Amino acid sequence: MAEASRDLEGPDFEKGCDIDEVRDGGMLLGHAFGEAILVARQGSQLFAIAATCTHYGGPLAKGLMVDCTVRCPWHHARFDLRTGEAIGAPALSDTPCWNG
Amino acid sequence: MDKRDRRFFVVGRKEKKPARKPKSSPASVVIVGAGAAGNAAAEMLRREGCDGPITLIGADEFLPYDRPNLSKDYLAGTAPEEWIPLRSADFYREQKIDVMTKTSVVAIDPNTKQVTLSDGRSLASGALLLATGAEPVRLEITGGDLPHAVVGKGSLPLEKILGRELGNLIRETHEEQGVKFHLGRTPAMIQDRQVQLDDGTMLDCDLVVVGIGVRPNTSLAETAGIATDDGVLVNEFLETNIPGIFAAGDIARWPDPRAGRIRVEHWVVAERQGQTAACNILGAREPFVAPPFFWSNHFDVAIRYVGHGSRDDRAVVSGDLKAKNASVIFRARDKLTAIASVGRDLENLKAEVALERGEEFGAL
Repeated sequence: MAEASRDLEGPDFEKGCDIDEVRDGGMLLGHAFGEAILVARQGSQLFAIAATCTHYGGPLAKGLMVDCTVRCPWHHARFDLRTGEAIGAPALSDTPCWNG
Repeated sequence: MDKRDRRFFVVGRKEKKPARKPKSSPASVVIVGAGAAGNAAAEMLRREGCDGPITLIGADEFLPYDRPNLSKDYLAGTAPEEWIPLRSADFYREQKIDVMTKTSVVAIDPNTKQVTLSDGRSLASGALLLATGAEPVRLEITGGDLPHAVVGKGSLPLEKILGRELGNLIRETHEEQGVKFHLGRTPAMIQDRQVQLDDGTMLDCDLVVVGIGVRPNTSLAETAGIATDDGVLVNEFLETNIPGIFAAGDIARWPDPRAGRIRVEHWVVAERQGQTAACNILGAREPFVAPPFFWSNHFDVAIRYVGHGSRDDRAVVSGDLKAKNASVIFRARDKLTAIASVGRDLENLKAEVALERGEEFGAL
Protein backbone atom coordinates (compact mmCIF):
# COMPACT_ATOMS: atom_id res chain seq x y z
CA MET A 1 0.00 0.00 0.00
CA ALA A 2 1.14 3.51 -0.78
CA GLU A 3 2.23 5.84 1.94
CA ALA A 4 0.06 8.86 1.57
CA SER A 5 2.32 11.26 3.40
CA ARG A 6 5.25 10.78 1.05
CA ASP A 7 5.76 12.73 -2.14
CA LEU A 8 2.66 14.87 -1.97
CA GLU A 9 1.81 16.37 -5.33
CA GLY A 10 -0.25 19.29 -6.55
CA PRO A 11 -1.66 22.30 -4.72
CA ASP A 12 -1.94 22.60 -0.94
CA PHE A 13 -5.71 22.68 -0.47
CA GLU A 14 -5.36 24.02 3.10
CA LYS A 15 -4.00 27.23 1.56
CA GLY A 16 -6.86 27.31 -0.91
CA CYS A 17 -7.11 26.74 -4.62
CA ASP A 18 -8.83 28.49 -7.48
CA ILE A 19 -12.11 26.74 -8.39
CA ASP A 20 -11.29 27.12 -12.07
CA GLU A 21 -8.28 24.86 -11.55
CA VAL A 22 -10.79 21.98 -11.49
CA ARG A 23 -12.78 21.68 -14.67
CA ASP A 24 -16.44 20.67 -14.57
CA GLY A 25 -16.63 16.85 -14.46
CA GLY A 26 -12.90 16.69 -13.73
CA MET A 27 -10.59 15.90 -10.84
CA LEU A 28 -7.50 17.53 -9.34
CA LEU A 29 -4.88 15.89 -7.14
CA GLY A 30 -3.51 17.96 -4.28
CA HIS A 31 -2.98 17.59 -0.55
CA ALA A 32 -3.97 18.84 2.88
CA PHE A 33 -3.05 17.79 6.41
CA GLY A 34 -0.23 15.67 5.05
CA GLU A 35 -2.54 13.52 2.95
CA ALA A 36 -3.08 13.19 -0.78
CA ILE A 37 -6.53 14.57 -1.55
CA LEU A 38 -8.66 14.39 -4.64
CA VAL A 39 -10.95 17.29 -5.44
CA ALA A 40 -13.65 16.67 -8.01
CA ARG A 41 -16.12 19.08 -9.52
CA GLN A 42 -19.65 18.53 -10.72
CA GLY A 43 -21.14 21.84 -11.88
CA SER A 44 -20.92 24.20 -8.92
CA GLN A 45 -20.38 21.29 -6.48
CA LEU A 46 -16.92 20.38 -5.23
CA PHE A 47 -15.99 17.14 -3.47
CA ALA A 48 -12.84 16.27 -1.52
CA ILE A 49 -11.89 12.70 -0.63
CA ALA A 50 -8.59 10.95 0.12
CA ALA A 51 -6.85 10.22 -3.18
CA THR A 52 -5.73 6.70 -2.36
CA CYS A 53 -7.77 3.56 -3.00
CA THR A 54 -8.40 1.57 0.17
CA HIS A 55 -7.94 -1.71 -1.73
CA TYR A 56 -4.27 -1.72 -2.78
CA GLY A 57 -3.51 1.99 -2.65
CA GLY A 58 -4.23 2.83 -6.29
CA PRO A 59 -4.08 6.51 -7.37
CA LEU A 60 -7.71 7.63 -7.66
CA ALA A 61 -6.71 10.84 -9.47
CA LYS A 62 -5.62 8.66 -12.41
CA GLY A 63 -8.99 6.92 -12.41
CA LEU A 64 -12.27 7.86 -14.03
CA MET A 65 -14.95 10.14 -12.67
CA VAL A 66 -18.44 8.92 -13.51
CA ASP A 67 -21.23 11.19 -12.24
CA CYS A 68 -20.60 11.59 -8.50
CA THR A 69 -18.27 8.59 -8.28
CA VAL A 70 -14.64 7.82 -8.99
CA ARG A 71 -13.28 4.45 -10.19
CA CYS A 72 -9.79 3.29 -9.33
CA PRO A 73 -7.50 2.68 -12.34
CA TRP A 74 -5.96 -0.45 -10.83
CA HIS A 75 -8.84 -2.79 -10.05
CA HIS A 76 -11.95 -0.71 -10.79
CA ALA A 77 -13.07 -0.16 -7.18
CA ARG A 78 -15.66 2.60 -6.86
CA PHE A 79 -16.05 5.43 -4.36
CA ASP A 80 -18.84 7.93 -3.84
CA LEU A 81 -17.26 11.37 -4.14
CA ARG A 82 -19.94 12.87 -1.88
CA THR A 83 -19.20 10.61 1.09
CA GLY A 84 -15.95 8.73 0.39
CA GLU A 85 -17.93 5.53 0.69
CA ALA A 86 -16.56 2.41 -0.98
CA ILE A 87 -19.57 1.57 -3.16
CA GLY A 88 -18.04 -1.10 -5.36
CA ALA A 89 -15.53 -3.89 -4.71
CA PRO A 90 -12.67 -4.68 -4.54
CA ALA A 91 -12.41 -1.77 -2.07
CA LEU A 92 -14.33 -2.60 1.09
CA SER A 93 -13.34 0.34 3.33
CA ASP A 94 -14.42 3.94 2.88
CA THR A 95 -11.88 6.60 2.09
CA PRO A 96 -11.78 9.76 4.27
CA CYS A 97 -13.94 12.62 3.14
CA TRP A 98 -13.64 16.38 3.59
CA ASN A 99 -16.91 17.58 2.12
CA GLY A 100 -18.70 20.32 4.04
CA MET B 1 -14.55 22.23 2.52
CA ASP B 2 -14.98 26.00 2.45
CA LYS B 3 -15.62 28.21 -0.51
CA ARG B 4 -14.79 31.88 -0.64
CA ASP B 5 -15.19 33.87 -3.84
CA ARG B 6 -13.70 31.65 -6.53
CA ARG B 7 -11.45 29.73 -4.13
CA PHE B 8 -11.98 26.56 -2.14
CA PHE B 9 -10.21 25.31 1.00
CA VAL B 10 -10.12 21.79 2.36
CA VAL B 11 -10.88 22.13 6.07
CA GLY B 12 -12.63 19.73 8.48
CA ARG B 13 -12.78 16.03 7.84
CA LYS B 14 -16.31 14.62 7.81
CA GLU B 15 -16.53 11.62 10.14
CA LYS B 16 -20.20 10.74 10.40
CA LYS B 17 -22.16 8.99 7.72
CA PRO B 18 -25.93 8.92 7.89
CA ALA B 19 -27.39 5.56 8.99
CA ARG B 20 -29.36 3.71 6.36
CA LYS B 21 -32.66 1.98 6.71
CA PRO B 22 -33.36 -0.91 4.37
CA LYS B 23 -36.67 -1.45 2.56
CA SER B 24 -37.12 -4.74 4.36
CA SER B 25 -34.97 -6.77 6.72
CA PRO B 26 -35.18 -10.54 7.23
CA ALA B 27 -35.15 -11.87 10.81
CA SER B 28 -31.65 -13.24 10.19
CA VAL B 29 -29.27 -13.88 7.34
CA VAL B 30 -27.10 -16.97 6.93
CA ILE B 31 -24.25 -16.83 4.42
CA VAL B 32 -22.84 -20.16 3.31
CA GLY B 33 -19.22 -19.67 2.30
CA ALA B 34 -16.74 -17.13 3.72
CA GLY B 35 -14.84 -16.24 0.55
CA ALA B 36 -14.99 -13.06 -1.55
CA ALA B 37 -18.75 -13.09 -2.11
CA GLY B 38 -19.73 -14.15 1.40
CA ASN B 39 -17.55 -11.61 3.15
CA ALA B 40 -18.57 -8.71 0.87
CA ALA B 41 -22.22 -9.62 1.40
CA ALA B 42 -21.93 -9.68 5.18
CA GLU B 43 -20.27 -6.26 5.18
CA MET B 44 -22.82 -4.77 2.80
CA LEU B 45 -25.75 -6.08 4.84
CA ARG B 46 -24.54 -4.09 7.86
CA ARG B 47 -23.66 -1.06 5.73
CA GLU B 48 -27.20 -1.00 4.36
CA GLY B 49 -28.67 -1.11 7.87
CA CYS B 50 -29.55 -4.78 8.35
CA ASP B 51 -29.89 -5.13 12.12
CA GLY B 52 -30.66 -8.83 12.59
CA PRO B 53 -28.15 -11.61 13.19
CA ILE B 54 -25.70 -12.32 10.35
CA THR B 55 -23.83 -15.61 10.30
CA LEU B 56 -20.97 -16.21 7.90
CA ILE B 57 -20.06 -19.89 7.63
CA GLY B 58 -16.76 -21.06 6.14
CA ALA B 59 -14.97 -24.40 5.98
CA ASP B 60 -11.56 -22.69 6.12
CA GLU B 61 -9.76 -22.43 9.43
CA PHE B 62 -9.07 -18.71 8.84
CA LEU B 63 -11.21 -15.61 8.77
CA PRO B 64 -11.91 -14.36 5.19
CA TYR B 65 -8.67 -13.51 3.42
CA ASP B 66 -7.38 -11.82 0.27
CA ARG B 67 -6.94 -14.74 -2.08
CA PRO B 68 -5.66 -12.86 -5.17
CA ASN B 69 -2.75 -11.66 -3.07
CA LEU B 70 -1.67 -15.22 -2.31
CA SER B 71 -0.73 -15.92 -5.91
CA LYS B 72 0.52 -12.38 -6.62
CA ASP B 73 2.34 -10.01 -4.24
CA TYR B 74 2.42 -12.36 -1.27
CA LEU B 75 3.88 -15.19 -3.33
CA ALA B 76 6.36 -12.75 -4.89
CA GLY B 77 7.38 -11.67 -1.39
CA THR B 78 6.24 -8.07 -1.82
CA ALA B 79 3.24 -8.25 0.51
CA PRO B 80 3.62 -9.04 4.22
CA GLU B 81 1.44 -11.62 5.90
CA GLU B 82 -0.51 -8.91 7.76
CA TRP B 83 -2.11 -7.85 4.48
CA ILE B 84 -3.69 -11.22 3.85
CA PRO B 85 -6.75 -11.18 6.17
CA LEU B 86 -9.52 -9.01 4.70
CA ARG B 87 -10.63 -7.95 8.17
CA SER B 88 -9.62 -8.45 11.78
CA ALA B 89 -11.52 -10.52 14.32
CA ASP B 90 -12.35 -7.19 16.02
CA PHE B 91 -14.02 -5.94 12.85
CA TYR B 92 -16.44 -8.86 12.76
CA ARG B 93 -17.10 -8.47 16.48
CA GLU B 94 -17.85 -4.74 16.11
CA GLN B 95 -20.06 -5.38 13.09
CA LYS B 96 -21.83 -8.19 14.93
CA ILE B 97 -21.07 -10.62 12.13
CA ASP B 98 -20.79 -14.11 13.53
CA VAL B 99 -18.08 -15.90 11.56
CA MET B 100 -18.02 -19.67 11.94
CA THR B 101 -14.71 -21.06 10.73
CA LYS B 102 -13.97 -24.76 10.12
CA THR B 103 -17.69 -25.27 9.64
CA SER B 104 -19.64 -26.29 6.58
CA VAL B 105 -23.30 -26.55 5.79
CA VAL B 106 -24.37 -30.10 5.00
CA ALA B 107 -28.06 -29.55 4.24
CA ILE B 108 -30.60 -26.82 3.52
CA ASP B 109 -34.31 -27.10 4.04
CA PRO B 110 -35.74 -25.16 1.09
CA ASN B 111 -39.07 -24.55 2.84
CA THR B 112 -37.89 -23.21 6.17
CA LYS B 113 -34.41 -22.12 4.97
CA GLN B 114 -32.98 -23.83 8.03
CA VAL B 115 -29.43 -25.06 7.55
CA THR B 116 -27.74 -28.09 9.11
CA LEU B 117 -24.11 -27.63 10.05
CA SER B 118 -21.24 -30.12 9.86
CA ASP B 119 -21.18 -30.33 13.65
CA GLY B 120 -24.81 -31.46 13.69
CA ARG B 121 -26.34 -28.19 14.85
CA SER B 122 -29.08 -26.39 12.92
CA LEU B 123 -29.46 -22.72 12.28
CA ALA B 124 -32.61 -20.83 11.33
CA SER B 125 -32.39 -18.21 8.62
CA GLY B 126 -34.75 -15.58 7.28
CA ALA B 127 -32.72 -15.23 4.10
CA LEU B 128 -29.93 -17.39 2.79
CA LEU B 129 -26.98 -16.58 0.55
CA LEU B 130 -25.11 -19.43 -1.11
CA ALA B 131 -21.51 -18.47 -1.78
CA THR B 132 -19.86 -21.87 -1.68
CA GLY B 133 -17.28 -21.07 -4.35
CA ALA B 134 -15.43 -23.65 -6.36
CA GLU B 135 -13.12 -26.58 -5.82
CA PRO B 136 -9.91 -27.17 -7.80
CA VAL B 137 -10.11 -29.94 -10.37
CA ARG B 138 -7.70 -32.73 -9.38
CA LEU B 139 -5.28 -34.27 -11.79
CA GLU B 140 -6.30 -37.87 -12.20
CA ILE B 141 -3.10 -39.47 -13.39
CA THR B 142 -0.51 -41.65 -11.72
CA GLY B 143 1.16 -39.49 -9.11
CA GLY B 144 -1.48 -36.77 -9.38
CA ASP B 145 -2.14 -37.17 -5.68
CA LEU B 146 1.47 -36.62 -4.62
CA PRO B 147 1.82 -33.61 -2.37
CA HIS B 148 2.41 -30.38 -4.25
CA ALA B 149 1.88 -31.86 -7.51
CA VAL B 150 2.70 -26.33 -13.57
CA VAL B 151 0.46 -28.18 -15.73
CA GLY B 152 -1.82 -26.18 -17.93
CA LYS B 153 -4.45 -27.50 -20.24
CA GLY B 154 -5.05 -26.99 -23.94
CA SER B 155 -2.73 -25.88 -26.66
CA LEU B 156 -3.11 -22.12 -26.61
CA PRO B 157 -4.74 -21.22 -23.32
CA LEU B 158 -3.64 -17.59 -23.27
CA GLU B 159 -4.73 -16.92 -26.82
CA LYS B 160 -8.26 -18.08 -26.17
CA ILE B 161 -8.88 -15.54 -23.46
CA LEU B 162 -6.62 -12.66 -24.46
CA GLY B 163 -6.44 -12.89 -28.25
CA ARG B 164 -3.40 -13.99 -30.24
CA GLU B 165 -1.26 -10.85 -29.89
CA LEU B 166 -1.65 -10.35 -26.17
CA GLY B 167 -1.47 -14.08 -25.56
CA ASN B 168 1.89 -14.08 -27.35
CA LEU B 169 3.16 -11.13 -25.33
CA ILE B 170 2.36 -12.95 -22.12
CA ARG B 171 4.02 -16.12 -23.36
CA GLU B 172 7.14 -14.23 -24.47
CA THR B 173 7.27 -12.38 -21.16
CA HIS B 174 7.37 -15.69 -19.33
CA GLU B 175 9.86 -17.20 -21.78
CA GLU B 176 12.22 -14.24 -21.26
CA GLN B 177 12.19 -15.15 -17.59
CA GLY B 178 13.12 -18.75 -18.29
CA VAL B 179 9.68 -20.37 -18.33
CA LYS B 180 9.37 -23.22 -20.84
CA PHE B 181 5.95 -24.01 -22.28
CA HIS B 182 4.91 -27.46 -23.45
CA LEU B 183 1.72 -26.49 -25.22
CA GLY B 184 -0.53 -29.15 -26.64
CA ARG B 185 0.95 -31.75 -24.27
CA THR B 186 -0.62 -33.35 -21.25
CA PRO B 187 1.14 -34.94 -18.28
CA ALA B 188 1.00 -38.72 -18.30
CA MET B 189 2.62 -39.45 -14.99
CA ILE B 190 4.09 -37.65 -12.00
CA GLN B 191 6.95 -39.25 -10.13
CA ASP B 192 9.25 -38.05 -7.42
CA ARG B 193 10.94 -34.95 -8.91
CA GLN B 194 9.87 -35.80 -12.46
CA VAL B 195 6.88 -35.33 -14.71
CA GLN B 196 6.43 -37.45 -17.83
CA LEU B 197 4.45 -35.88 -20.67
CA ASP B 198 2.24 -37.81 -23.09
CA ASP B 199 4.96 -37.68 -25.78
CA GLY B 200 7.44 -39.32 -23.41
CA THR B 201 9.37 -36.15 -22.52
CA MET B 202 10.67 -36.22 -18.95
CA LEU B 203 10.76 -32.94 -17.01
CA ASP B 204 12.75 -32.56 -13.81
CA CYS B 205 11.07 -30.56 -11.10
CA ASP B 206 10.91 -29.93 -7.38
CA LEU B 207 7.36 -28.78 -7.36
CA VAL B 208 4.34 -29.36 -9.55
CA VAL B 209 1.51 -26.84 -9.57
CA VAL B 210 -1.71 -28.08 -11.08
CA GLY B 211 -3.84 -25.35 -12.61
CA ILE B 212 -6.52 -27.12 -14.57
CA GLY B 213 -9.49 -25.14 -13.41
CA VAL B 214 -12.16 -25.38 -10.79
CA ARG B 215 -15.62 -26.82 -10.46
CA PRO B 216 -18.44 -24.90 -8.75
CA ASN B 217 -19.59 -26.36 -5.43
CA THR B 218 -23.25 -26.80 -6.29
CA SER B 219 -24.11 -30.10 -4.60
CA LEU B 220 -25.59 -28.44 -1.50
CA ALA B 221 -27.94 -26.40 -3.70
CA GLU B 222 -28.80 -29.39 -5.91
CA THR B 223 -29.71 -31.55 -2.95
CA ALA B 224 -31.99 -28.79 -1.66
CA GLY B 225 -33.84 -28.72 -4.97
CA ILE B 226 -32.42 -25.40 -6.13
CA ALA B 227 -32.17 -25.12 -9.93
CA THR B 228 -28.63 -25.63 -11.26
CA ASP B 229 -26.97 -25.94 -14.67
CA ASP B 230 -23.18 -25.78 -14.38
CA GLY B 231 -23.72 -23.40 -11.48
CA VAL B 232 -26.65 -22.24 -9.42
CA LEU B 233 -29.18 -20.50 -11.65
CA VAL B 234 -30.14 -17.04 -10.45
CA ASN B 235 -32.18 -14.17 -11.87
CA GLU B 236 -30.87 -10.62 -12.42
CA PHE B 237 -31.32 -10.00 -8.69
CA LEU B 238 -29.13 -13.02 -7.92
CA GLU B 239 -32.07 -14.89 -6.38
CA THR B 240 -32.49 -18.61 -7.04
CA ASN B 241 -35.75 -20.31 -7.99
CA ILE B 242 -36.51 -20.47 -4.26
CA PRO B 243 -37.53 -17.02 -2.97
CA GLY B 244 -35.27 -15.80 -0.17
CA ILE B 245 -32.35 -17.99 -1.27
CA PHE B 246 -29.67 -16.09 -3.20
CA ALA B 247 -26.39 -17.17 -4.78
CA ALA B 248 -23.22 -15.18 -5.57
CA GLY B 249 -19.65 -15.70 -6.72
CA ASP B 250 -18.10 -18.69 -8.49
CA ILE B 251 -21.28 -20.79 -8.21
CA ALA B 252 -23.74 -18.25 -9.63
CA ARG B 253 -24.91 -18.43 -13.25
CA TRP B 254 -26.63 -15.11 -13.88
CA PRO B 255 -28.18 -13.29 -16.86
CA ASP B 256 -25.54 -10.72 -17.84
CA PRO B 257 -27.23 -7.92 -19.82
CA ARG B 258 -24.62 -8.21 -22.61
CA ALA B 259 -23.30 -11.77 -22.65
CA GLY B 260 -26.40 -13.71 -21.59
CA ARG B 261 -26.26 -16.41 -18.91
CA ILE B 262 -22.70 -16.70 -17.67
CA ARG B 263 -20.76 -17.94 -14.70
CA VAL B 264 -17.46 -16.24 -13.87
CA GLU B 265 -14.75 -17.29 -11.44
CA HIS B 266 -13.17 -13.96 -10.59
CA TRP B 267 -12.57 -12.19 -7.30
CA VAL B 268 -14.06 -8.77 -8.09
CA VAL B 269 -17.15 -10.32 -9.68
CA ALA B 270 -17.68 -12.45 -6.60
CA GLU B 271 -17.33 -9.51 -4.23
CA ARG B 272 -19.67 -7.32 -6.27
CA GLN B 273 -22.24 -10.08 -6.52
CA GLY B 274 -22.05 -10.52 -2.76
CA GLN B 275 -22.71 -6.80 -2.39
CA THR B 276 -25.66 -6.81 -4.81
CA ALA B 277 -27.14 -9.95 -3.26
CA ALA B 278 -26.91 -8.25 0.17
CA CYS B 279 -28.83 -5.22 -1.11
CA ASN B 280 -31.48 -7.49 -2.64
CA ILE B 281 -31.83 -9.55 0.54
CA LEU B 282 -32.86 -6.18 1.99
CA GLY B 283 -35.43 -5.61 -0.74
CA ALA B 284 -33.49 -3.26 -3.00
CA ARG B 285 -34.43 -5.10 -6.25
CA GLU B 286 -31.12 -4.02 -7.79
CA PRO B 287 -30.15 -5.98 -10.90
CA PHE B 288 -26.53 -7.16 -11.19
CA VAL B 289 -25.30 -5.35 -14.30
CA ALA B 290 -21.59 -4.70 -13.67
CA PRO B 291 -19.41 -5.96 -16.54
CA PRO B 292 -17.11 -8.71 -15.23
CA PHE B 293 -13.60 -7.51 -14.39
CA PHE B 294 -10.35 -9.24 -13.57
CA TRP B 295 -6.68 -8.37 -13.35
CA SER B 296 -3.69 -10.56 -13.93
CA ASN B 297 0.01 -9.88 -13.33
CA HIS B 298 2.82 -11.49 -15.34
CA PHE B 299 6.23 -10.16 -14.25
CA ASP B 300 6.07 -6.49 -15.32
CA VAL B 301 2.92 -6.89 -17.41
CA ALA B 302 -0.33 -6.05 -15.61
CA ILE B 303 -3.48 -6.90 -17.52
CA ARG B 304 -6.89 -5.41 -16.83
CA TYR B 305 -9.78 -7.18 -18.50
CA VAL B 306 -13.37 -5.95 -18.47
CA GLY B 307 -16.39 -7.47 -20.16
CA HIS B 308 -17.00 -10.99 -21.32
CA GLY B 309 -15.55 -11.93 -24.69
CA SER B 310 -15.81 -15.23 -26.43
CA ARG B 311 -13.22 -16.93 -28.61
CA ASP B 312 -15.27 -16.17 -31.73
CA ASP B 313 -15.06 -12.44 -31.14
CA ARG B 314 -13.02 -10.23 -33.43
CA ALA B 315 -9.95 -8.93 -31.58
CA VAL B 316 -8.36 -5.65 -32.67
CA VAL B 317 -5.16 -4.32 -31.11
CA SER B 318 -4.99 -0.60 -30.43
CA GLY B 319 -1.59 0.78 -29.43
CA ASP B 320 1.84 -0.79 -29.10
CA LEU B 321 1.83 -4.16 -27.37
CA LYS B 322 5.62 -4.51 -27.45
CA ALA B 323 5.90 -1.21 -25.60
CA LYS B 324 3.34 -2.61 -23.14
CA ASN B 325 0.94 0.19 -23.94
CA ALA B 326 -2.06 -1.24 -25.74
CA SER B 327 -5.57 -2.58 -25.53
CA VAL B 328 -7.11 -5.54 -27.28
CA ILE B 329 -10.71 -4.71 -28.12
CA PHE B 330 -13.10 -7.62 -28.58
CA ARG B 331 -16.26 -7.26 -30.63
CA ALA B 332 -19.03 -9.65 -31.61
CA ARG B 333 -20.42 -8.42 -34.89
CA ASP B 334 -19.87 -4.72 -34.25
CA LYS B 335 -20.70 -4.70 -30.59
CA LEU B 336 -18.06 -4.26 -27.89
CA THR B 337 -17.86 -7.36 -25.70
CA ALA B 338 -14.62 -6.95 -23.78
CA ILE B 339 -11.32 -5.11 -23.61
CA ALA B 340 -7.97 -6.29 -22.26
CA SER B 341 -5.47 -3.52 -21.52
CA VAL B 342 -1.78 -3.31 -20.69
CA GLY B 343 -0.50 0.07 -19.49
CA ARG B 344 -3.82 1.70 -20.36
CA ASP B 345 -5.78 1.66 -17.16
CA LEU B 346 -7.90 4.71 -17.93
CA GLU B 347 -8.91 3.30 -21.31
CA ASN B 348 -10.01 0.12 -19.58
CA LEU B 349 -12.22 2.12 -17.23
CA LYS B 350 -13.72 4.03 -20.16
CA ALA B 351 -14.52 0.75 -21.87
CA GLU B 352 -16.22 -0.44 -18.70
CA VAL B 353 -18.52 2.58 -18.82
CA ALA B 354 -19.18 2.05 -22.55
CA LEU B 355 -20.14 -1.58 -21.81
CA GLU B 356 -22.50 -0.50 -19.04
CA ARG B 357 -24.17 2.09 -21.21
CA GLY B 358 -24.21 0.01 -24.37
CA GLU B 359 -22.24 2.73 -26.10
CA GLU B 360 -19.77 2.50 -28.95
CA PHE B 361 -16.17 2.56 -27.86
CA GLY B 362 -13.32 4.21 -29.72
CA ALA B 363 -9.87 3.43 -28.39
CA LEU B 364 -7.61 6.32 -27.44
